[in-house]
Amino acid sequence: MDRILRRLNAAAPHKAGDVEPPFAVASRTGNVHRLVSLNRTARALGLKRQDNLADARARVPHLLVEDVAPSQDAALLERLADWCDRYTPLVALDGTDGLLLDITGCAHLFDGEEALLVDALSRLKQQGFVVQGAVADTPVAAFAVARFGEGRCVASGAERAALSPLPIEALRVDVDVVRALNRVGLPTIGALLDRPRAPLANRFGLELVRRLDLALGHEKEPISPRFAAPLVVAERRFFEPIGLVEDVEAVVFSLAGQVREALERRCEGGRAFELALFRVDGAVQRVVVGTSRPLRDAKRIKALFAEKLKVDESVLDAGYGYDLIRLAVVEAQEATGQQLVLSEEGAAQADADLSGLIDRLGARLGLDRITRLLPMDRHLPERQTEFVPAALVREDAVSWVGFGGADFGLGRSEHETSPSLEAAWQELPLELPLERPLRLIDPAEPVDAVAMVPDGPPLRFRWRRVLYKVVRSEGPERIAPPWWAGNIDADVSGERATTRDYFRIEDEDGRRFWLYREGLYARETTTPRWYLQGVFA
Amino acid sequence: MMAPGQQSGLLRSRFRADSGFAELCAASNFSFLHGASHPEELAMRAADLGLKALAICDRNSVAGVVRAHMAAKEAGLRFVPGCRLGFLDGTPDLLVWPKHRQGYGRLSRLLTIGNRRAEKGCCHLLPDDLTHLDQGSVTALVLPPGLPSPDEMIADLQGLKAVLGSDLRLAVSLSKGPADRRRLDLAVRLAQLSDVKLLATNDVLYHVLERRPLQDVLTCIRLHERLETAGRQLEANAERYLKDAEDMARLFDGAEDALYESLRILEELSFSLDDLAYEYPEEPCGDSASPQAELERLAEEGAKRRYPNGVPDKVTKAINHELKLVAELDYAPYFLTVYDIVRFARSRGILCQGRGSAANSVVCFCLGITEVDPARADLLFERFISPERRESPDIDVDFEHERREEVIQYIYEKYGRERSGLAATVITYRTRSALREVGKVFGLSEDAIGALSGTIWGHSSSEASEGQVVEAGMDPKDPMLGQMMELVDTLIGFPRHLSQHVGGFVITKGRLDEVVPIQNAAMEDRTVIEWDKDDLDALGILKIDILALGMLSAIRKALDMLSENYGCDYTVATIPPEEPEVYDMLCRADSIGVFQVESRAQMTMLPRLKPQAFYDLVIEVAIVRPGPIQGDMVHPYLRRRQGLEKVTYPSRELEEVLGKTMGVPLFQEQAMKIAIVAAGFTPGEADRLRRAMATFRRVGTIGTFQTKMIEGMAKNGYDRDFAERCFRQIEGFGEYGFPESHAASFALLVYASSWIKARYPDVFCAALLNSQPMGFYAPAQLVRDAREHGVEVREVDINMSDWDAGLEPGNCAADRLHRKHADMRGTIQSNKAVRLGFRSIKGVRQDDMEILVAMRGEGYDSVRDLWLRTGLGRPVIMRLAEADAFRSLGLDRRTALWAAQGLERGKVQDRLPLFDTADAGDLRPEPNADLPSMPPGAHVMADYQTLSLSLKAHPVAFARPALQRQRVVPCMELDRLRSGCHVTVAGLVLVRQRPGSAKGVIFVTLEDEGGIANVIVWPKVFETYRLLVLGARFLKVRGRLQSEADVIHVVADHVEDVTPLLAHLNDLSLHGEGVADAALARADEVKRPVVELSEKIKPAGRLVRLVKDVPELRQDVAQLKPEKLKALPGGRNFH
Amino acid sequence: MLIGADVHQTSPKGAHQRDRLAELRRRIADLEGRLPLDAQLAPAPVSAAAKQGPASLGDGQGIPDGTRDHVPLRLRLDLPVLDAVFQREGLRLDSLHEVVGRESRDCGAVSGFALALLARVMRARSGAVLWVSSPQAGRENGRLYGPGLQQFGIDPARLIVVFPRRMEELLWGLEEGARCSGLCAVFGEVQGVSRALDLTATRRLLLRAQTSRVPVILMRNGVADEPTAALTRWCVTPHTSRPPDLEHRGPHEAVGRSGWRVTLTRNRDGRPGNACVEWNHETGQFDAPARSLALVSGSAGGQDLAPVERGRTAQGWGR
Repeated sequence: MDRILRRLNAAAPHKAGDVEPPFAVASRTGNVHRLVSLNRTARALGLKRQDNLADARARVPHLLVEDVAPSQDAALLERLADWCDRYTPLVALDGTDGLLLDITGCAHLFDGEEALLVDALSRLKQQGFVVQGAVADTPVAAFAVARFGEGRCVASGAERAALSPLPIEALRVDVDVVRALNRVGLPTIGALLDRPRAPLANRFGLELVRRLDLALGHEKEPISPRFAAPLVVAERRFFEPIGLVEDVEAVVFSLAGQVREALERRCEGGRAFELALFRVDGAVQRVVVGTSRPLRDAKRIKALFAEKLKVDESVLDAGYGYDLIRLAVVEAQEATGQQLVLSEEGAAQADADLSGLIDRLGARLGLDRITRLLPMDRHLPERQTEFVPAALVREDAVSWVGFGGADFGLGRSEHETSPSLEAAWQELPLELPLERPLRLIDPAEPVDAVAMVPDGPPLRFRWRRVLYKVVRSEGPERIAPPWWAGNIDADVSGERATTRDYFRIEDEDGRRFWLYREGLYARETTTPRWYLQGVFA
Repeated sequence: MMAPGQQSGLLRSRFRADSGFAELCAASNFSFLHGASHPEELAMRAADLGLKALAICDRNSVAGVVRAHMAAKEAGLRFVPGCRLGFLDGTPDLLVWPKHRQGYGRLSRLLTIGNRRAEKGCCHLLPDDLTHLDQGSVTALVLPPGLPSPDEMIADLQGLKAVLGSDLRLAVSLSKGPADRRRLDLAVRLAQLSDVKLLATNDVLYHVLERRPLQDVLTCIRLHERLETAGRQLEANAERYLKDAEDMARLFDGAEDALYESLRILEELSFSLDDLAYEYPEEPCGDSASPQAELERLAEEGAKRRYPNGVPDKVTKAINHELKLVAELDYAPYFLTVYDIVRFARSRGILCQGRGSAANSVVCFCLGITEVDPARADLLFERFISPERRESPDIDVDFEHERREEVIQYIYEKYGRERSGLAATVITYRTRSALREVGKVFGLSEDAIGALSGTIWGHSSSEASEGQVVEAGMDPKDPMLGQMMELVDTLIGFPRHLSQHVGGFVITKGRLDEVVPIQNAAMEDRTVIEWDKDDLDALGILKIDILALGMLSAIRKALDMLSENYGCDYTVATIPPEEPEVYDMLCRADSIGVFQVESRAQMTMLPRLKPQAFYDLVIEVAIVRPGPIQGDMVHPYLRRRQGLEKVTYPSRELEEVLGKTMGVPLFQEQAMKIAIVAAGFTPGEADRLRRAMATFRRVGTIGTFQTKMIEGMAKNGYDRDFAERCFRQIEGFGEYGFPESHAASFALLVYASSWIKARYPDVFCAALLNSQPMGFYAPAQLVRDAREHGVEVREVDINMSDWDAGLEPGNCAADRLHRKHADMRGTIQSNKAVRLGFRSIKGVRQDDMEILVAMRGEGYDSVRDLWLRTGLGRPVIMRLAEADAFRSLGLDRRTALWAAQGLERGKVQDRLPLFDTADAGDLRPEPNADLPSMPPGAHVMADYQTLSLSLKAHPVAFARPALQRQRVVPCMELDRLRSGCHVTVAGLVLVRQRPGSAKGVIFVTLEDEGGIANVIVWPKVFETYRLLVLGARFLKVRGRLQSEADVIHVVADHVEDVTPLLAHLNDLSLHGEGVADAALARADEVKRPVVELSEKIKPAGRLVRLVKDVPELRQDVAQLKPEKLKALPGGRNFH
Repeated sequence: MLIGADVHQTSPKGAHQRDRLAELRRRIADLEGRLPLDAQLAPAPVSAAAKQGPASLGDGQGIPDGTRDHVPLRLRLDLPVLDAVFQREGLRLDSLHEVVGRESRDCGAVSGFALALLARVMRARSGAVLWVSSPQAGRENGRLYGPGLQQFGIDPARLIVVFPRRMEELLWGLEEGARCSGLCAVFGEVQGVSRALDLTATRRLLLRAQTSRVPVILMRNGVADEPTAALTRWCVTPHTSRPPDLEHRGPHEAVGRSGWRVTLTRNRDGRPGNACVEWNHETGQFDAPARSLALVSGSAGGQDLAPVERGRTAQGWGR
C-alpha cells in the first residue's frame, strides 16, 4: 500500500490540502478479487477490507486499484528493516507488514524510549509511510498496542491497563478462538485478565493462556532478528592495495574457493555472484554475474568474472587500488554435489562444459541472446516458435512432441496383417509431406500472385522482384486466425484477421516455398492478398 | 503481368452436383460440448442446402435425434437417426445408422449396455460390444484426422469387417488440413485394400460456419481451458459446417464415388423414428374381457360412488363420449395404469391428487384420479385427448413430496427396470450458467463474472445495458465483452446434460431399452431414458407424471395433528365445505402459508375479488396468470364483480361459455371455446393454436392464426377489440396454460389449507414448519403469522422439543389475537401452543436429535448430563447451546455455551469408565463463569443466525429509536395514513419480485417488528438504486403511500441502506447481514433466481414442433426468419 | 554413456591412460600446428552411430571422456555417391565443413542440405547443437522454424541458438562452441560476403574443431568462391522434386521430397564431385533420385550399408 502510494505521490505530488484519490490494493484469492488495503479516502467512502473488488468499483467508480505484489512488499519491508538498523541491530520482521525492534539497551542513545519512538515514527512518516508504533516490555504487548491500540509508549508494569480494552485478536490467537470467546461475551483482553486460567485453557487451548502470559511478561519471548547477511560471503583485505587485473582475478579465484566450500556445506550452487571492489578512496564497484545453472566451481566462477571484466572495462578502474575485495553469493539454488563438482566422470564434465559455454557466451553477448526454441501451442504458424533465453528455459518446456514428426511419420507398426494384405500394403506408395517450412519469413512478405478462384493454388507469383512459375503445389491448408478480441495474436494484422489458405509450392527450378492467400474469395473478400511466409528445404 | 489478385479462371467441378449428397455424420449439441448447433438447426439448414438426407450422429447418444427428426419432417428432408460410437480402447469412432426397427432396437440396447456400465452421463463401449448390432445397421469407421497409420487402419478395418461384414464403410472427411490430398488418396487406397466402400462426409460440428466461435468456446469449456490457452486443441479453421453437394463435390474432386455412396447407403436404410409404435403395458383387467371393458366397468362403478343420488345425464353423456374416444385411440391400458398407481398410493395412505388436463375427464374423476366434479365444471375432453393429434393424454398426479419415492419404487418394482424409466429433462444453459462458462473461457475472473451476472437480474442477457456493465466494473466499449455477450446469447438454450424429469415415467409393454437407450441417473436406483417429455410426446410415447407437492405433505401432517390433538378426523374431502369464516379470512388477504394464494400478487387480488364460494377460489387461482393479464381481462372481471359494470355477453352463444365468469373469459378453455364458437375453429385447430402459443411467445404473434381468429370473430359480429383481447389472452396462456380443471384441482387445496389456517392456526403453523422447505415464506414469517393469530410459539428446548414442531397444551388462541385479526375471534378454535422442533436449528442432524429425544427420559439436568447420556459430540451440543435450547435448565445461550465449551473433545464412548471415576474432580462444578450478560439485541441476532427466527423480539425493534429519529413510520401504522401522503418506512427485506407481467416493476416486501410494508419500485428508481435494492438487507424507503381496497403500497422515490443500524446489536465477529439473510423469504427472486420467462423456450428448439402442429404457420416462420429468429439458420451466405 | 554396443569395453584405468595420451597428442599437435594423422583415428561402425538417439540438452548426457575416442570420426552419409568421394567412407566429423549457395533466394536448398547433414550428425552424436546465426541471415532467409525442423528430422529442443550482434561476436561464439567437446555440433550461419570471415578465421575454426572433435558446419549464403580453410565445401542449388504418386487433382502435381543438386567444389579429404540427392525426412536418409544420378567420382564401395532402422515414434499415429 504505502509502497505504491509513495510511488504515486512521487510521480504527482499533490498540494497540501488536496484530497488523496481513493486508492486500494486488491489481491486475488482463487478467483475472487478482494481489497486488502485502502487509503483514508477510500475508507471514508465506505469501502472496507475484504470487499469484493467488483462491488467496490461499482460503488466508487474512480477508485484506483493495484494488484498486490507480495515480493515487492517484502523487499520494501526488508529495506525498511535495513534502515531500522540505526536503532538496534536486533530487527525482526513481523508478518508481512510489521517490524519488531529489540531496543533493550539502545533507548538511551536516543534520549529514551519515548523519544526513540517519536523519532522513528516521524522519520518514517516523512518518507511517506503511514505507521503506528508502540514500545512495551513484551513483544506481544507492543504488537497489540501498536496494531489495535493507539500506539504509544507503554510504561513498565502498565501492560494490563494498556491491553485491557483491546480485542482478543490483538493477542494473535487463532480466529476460531477469537470467535468462540466472542460468543460467550468475552471480546476483550480485559475480560480474560482476571479470569481463572484453568477454565480458559480447558476451553480455548493452552495457547491462549500462553499468549496472555507473554503479553504480561510472565513468560519471556525472544525476537528472532532477520538474517542480515548475503547467503555466502568471502572477503579479503589488503594492506597494500592491489590494482592489476591479474591480481584481482587471482583474488577472485581464491575467494571463489572459500565460497565453494560454503556452498557445498549448504548443498547449494550459486545462480548469481556479486563481486564488490572497495577502492581505497571509498568508492565501491560492483560486478554481478548470473549463471544458467547452480555453480560452485571456483575456476568457472573466476572465468565468468574474467569474461565480464574483459567486456566491461569501465568497471576495473582501480585508481589508487583496492583494499577490500568481497565475493558474495547473491542467489543460490539447491543442487546436488554431483552436478556441480568437476569430476573425472565424463557425463558431468560434458554437462558442465555446456552450461559453462552458455555462461561464457552469455557473459559476453548477454544471456538473452543465447536462446532455445520453444514450441508454442498455437495455430498461427508465426506464433508456433519462440526463441527464449536458454537460462530461463525449463527442460520440460521444450518438448516438441506433437509438432509434426510423430503425427506425420511413416512407420511400420507391429500390427498383424495377413500376408496378402502385407503384400498389398507394399504397393501403397505413400509418403508423408513436409508440411512446415524449415525457415519462416517473419513477418510474411507480400507477393503478387495469380491464382484460380475460389481457392486454387497460385500459378505465378512475384517475390522480391523476381517472377516464379509454380509447377507443383499442394493445398489449400486453411488456417483461421483467432477470432476473439484481445487475443494475444491479435496484433497480426491490426484489424479483424481473415482466414488464410496455405499452399506448399515448387517453382520450375525446384525452389520450394510456403505461400498463403489472405481472405477467402467471396466469403471474406473479393481481392485476396498473397504472402510468402516460408522456405522449404 | 497480371495485377495482384487477378484471377485466371474458375475451378469447375466435375461432379454432377444435381445427383445430390446426403450428410451422414453431423454432431448436434447433444454431443455435449462438441456440436455447436441445435438438431433442428442442422435439419433446417440441410433442407435449405438441398441435401438428400441428414443423419445426426451424436457421441454415444441418440438424445437429439427426435428433435432433428421432427424438424426434418417439417422441412421435407429425409432424416436418418444415427449414432457415433466412441470406444474406450482407442478404436476409431464408428458411425451407425440402423437399417430397420430391429436394428434400431439393437443399437439402443448397445448404448444402454455402455451407459449402464459407466457413471452418469458417460457411456463406456468396447469393440466387442458391436456384436450386439448383429447386421442391423450400416456402419462406417471414421478415418481419424491427419494421415493416420495405414497399418493400424488396415488392422482396424479388418477387425471390424470380421464383425460387421458388408455393412462396414470407411468414412472420410476433408477439412482443409495440411495434407488433404494425400489423406483422400490414403482413404481411397485403404478402402480398396480392405474392400470396403468409401463414404464422404464433412464430419459436421455446426450448421453454418458462423458457429465456429461458439464451437471453440465449447471446446474450451470441455477442456477447462481458456481461449488463450487452448491452442491447437481448437479447430484450425471453420470448415466443419454443413456443405451442399457442390461444395462437397469440389472437396472430393476425383473421388465422386464416395459422394454417391452417401446415397447408396440411404437405399439400405428403411428405419424412421416414426416406426417406434408405442405399446401400452398390459394391466390386469380383472374379470373383464379387455382393458377397455375393465375401464368401462370401473368408470361405471366410480360414477355410482361419486353420484350416490344418481348420475346426472350430462355426466353419463360425457362418460360415454370419453369412453368412445378412449376405445378409438386404444388408451384404456393407460388409464388403468394410472388408476393402479393411484390405488397403490391410497392403500398406503399417501395423499395424492390428479391435476392438469386429466381433470378434464369425467372418467378420471370417476376413477378417483382427480377430485374435481365435472358436473360443476365445463370440461373439454379434446383438451385432454385430441383424436386429431393422436398425442398421448397427459395425466399428472401429485403426491406428498416426502412419500413420492414409495410410489416410484412401486412402479420400478411392478414393471421392472427394463420396462420403465424416468423421462429425461434436458438441462440447458441459462443466462447465468452460460455467462459463467463463457466468461471463464474468455479469462474473466470469477469476480467479474459474478458482478456481471449479478446485474443481469431483471434483464434478458442480450440487453445488458452499458450502465450495468459499468456497474460490474467493466468497460462497455470493450469489444471482447460484446463478443462474449453474443456468444452467451447463443449458448443459452444449449443442452448441458440430461437430468431426470421430476416425475415423468415411461412404461412400455416390451423392452424399453429397445425403444430408447437407458442411462444411470445421479440418484442411486434410478434409471433415466435419453429423451425428454417433448421427444416422447412427439413420438406418441406415453408418460405418467408422478409429481411431488409439498402442500399435500403439509395437509396430511395437519390432518394427522388435528386428529391426534383435537380429536377431529377429517380428510381433504370431508373438511367442512364452504364455511363463510374461511372465506372472510381470505377476503382480508390473511393468507400467509395458504396454498397458491399466498403470493404478493394473489394477496393484492384477494380483497378485490372477495371470494365467497369455492368457485371464486377457482377463479382466484386462475386470474393472476399471464393469460388473463395479457388479455386485459382482470380489470373487466373485477369491475363486474364489484358491481361497477354491467354483466353483458358478446353474443348469445358465448353466454353459455362465459356465464360462470360474468362474461369475461378467464380460463384457457374459455378462450379456446371462443375460438371454436365465435371464430369457427375446429376443436383440433383450437388446440393447435394453444400449442402454437406455447412455442411462439417469444417470437411474436402469429399472423395466420391471428387473422383467422380475429377476422372470424369479426365476421360473426364480435367487437374487434374484444377479439384481439381474446387472442392476446390465448397468447398469454401460451406458457402458463391454466385450464379451469387445473385451477379447480388447486382450488380444493386452497380451501383445505385455508380452513386449517382459519380454524387451527397452531396446527397449520406446525404442519408448515414440518414440511419445509416449501411455499413462499420463511419460517420466521410463518411463526410471526401464527403468533398474530394468537398462537403461542415456544422455543426449541432440549427437554421439550422433538425433531418436528409439535403441539403442547396452551392458551386459547382466540383471546390473544392481534388487532388486525380481531374478526377471527369466533373462528379460531386453537388452544394449543406450538413447540418448535430441532429441525429449526440450522446444522443439526435428525438422527442426532432422535438420539437426544430417545435418551431424554425424565429430562436432562445439565449440559454435562446430556453429553454423557446421549454421547453426542461437543460441536453438536455447542450448536444446541448457540440455539439457546438449554433454557429449561436455566441456562441462557452464553452460559450453556460456556458449559459446552468446557466438555472434553472427543466422544463420550472414547472415555474410559475408569477414568470417569478416578477423575471425579472433573465433575466438580467449575467456579462460576460469571459471564457478562448478553444484551437482548445480540440474543435476537444469534437467534436469527441459528434458527432463522427469533421469538424474543424483532431485530428492527432495536433500531426503532434511531428510526424514530429519522421519522420512519412503523409498518403497522400505514393503514392509518391517507393515500397519497409521503412516508418513510424501513424493514428487513423479505421478498423481491419482478413479475413477468409487470413491465419491469420490482415489488419489495419489508418487515419490521409490527408488520410488513409493500414497496413498489418503478424501473427508473430501480436503475438509480439498483445495487441497494438488490444488495441491501435492511432498507429504508421514502415514497408515496398508495392505498386502494385495503391494499397499501409505498411507491419508492428514495432508497437507503440502513443495515449499519443493526450492526451494533451484534457481537464483534458477527455481521448484521447474515441475520437479515436468514429472514429472506424463499420467494425472493434475487436470492433464488427463477427461470426467466424468455429463457424457458428457445424459438428454434420448439419452432419445429410448432410448425409440425400447425402447418399454416410455415409462411410465418419463413417471414420471421431474417429479423426475429436469430437462432435459426441464416440464409445462404456462402458463395 | 555408451555409444555403441559393439565397441569393446575399456577399463577405466585404460581410459584414463588413453585420455592422457590423447591430451599429449593434442598438445603436440597444437605446438606443431599440424593436424593429427588420419591413421590414428579409427572410424566407428555406422550402425553404432545410428542407434544413437537424440539426447536432450539438460539430461546431462554428454559424452564421457573415457569413450570420447569411440565417437565416430567419420559420418557415413549412406549414399554411395556421397560417401565415395572421400578418402575413406564418410564425412570427417572433427572438422570444418562449408555449405554454400550463390543466390540468396536458394537459401531453402542450402539450408536443406546443411540441415540434412546436421540431422545425420545429430543422430550420430549426442549433445546439443550450438547454432550461431548472423543478424542478416534471419532477416534475409527467415528464422529457424521449429515445427519444420521437427518434421525435417531435427529435434529443435537440441538447438541452442545464439544471436550475436556483429560478425566478430559470431566468430567468437563459433570458436567458443568449437572448444566445447560436449556439443554435438556447431553450426554457423552467415549471409553474404564478410571480410571478417577470412582464411584466418576459418583456419582457427578448423583447428578448434580438430582439437575438440566437434564438427563445425558453416553455412554461407549468397557468396561466390571465398577463400576458406574448410575441409569440404558443398555448393548447393535447388532441384525439382519427384512428385509423389497421387491421384491427379487440381492444376499441379503434389510436391515431393526435398532434393538438391550438390557440388562438392572443394574437398581436402578426397575429390570433388557432384550429385543430385534427395532427403527422406521420414527415415533421415539421403536418397538418390531414381531418375537421375550424375556420378562424377567412382569407387563407390558396396560395403555394409547397414539399414538404419527408424524407431516408431512414441506418440503413435495421430490418434
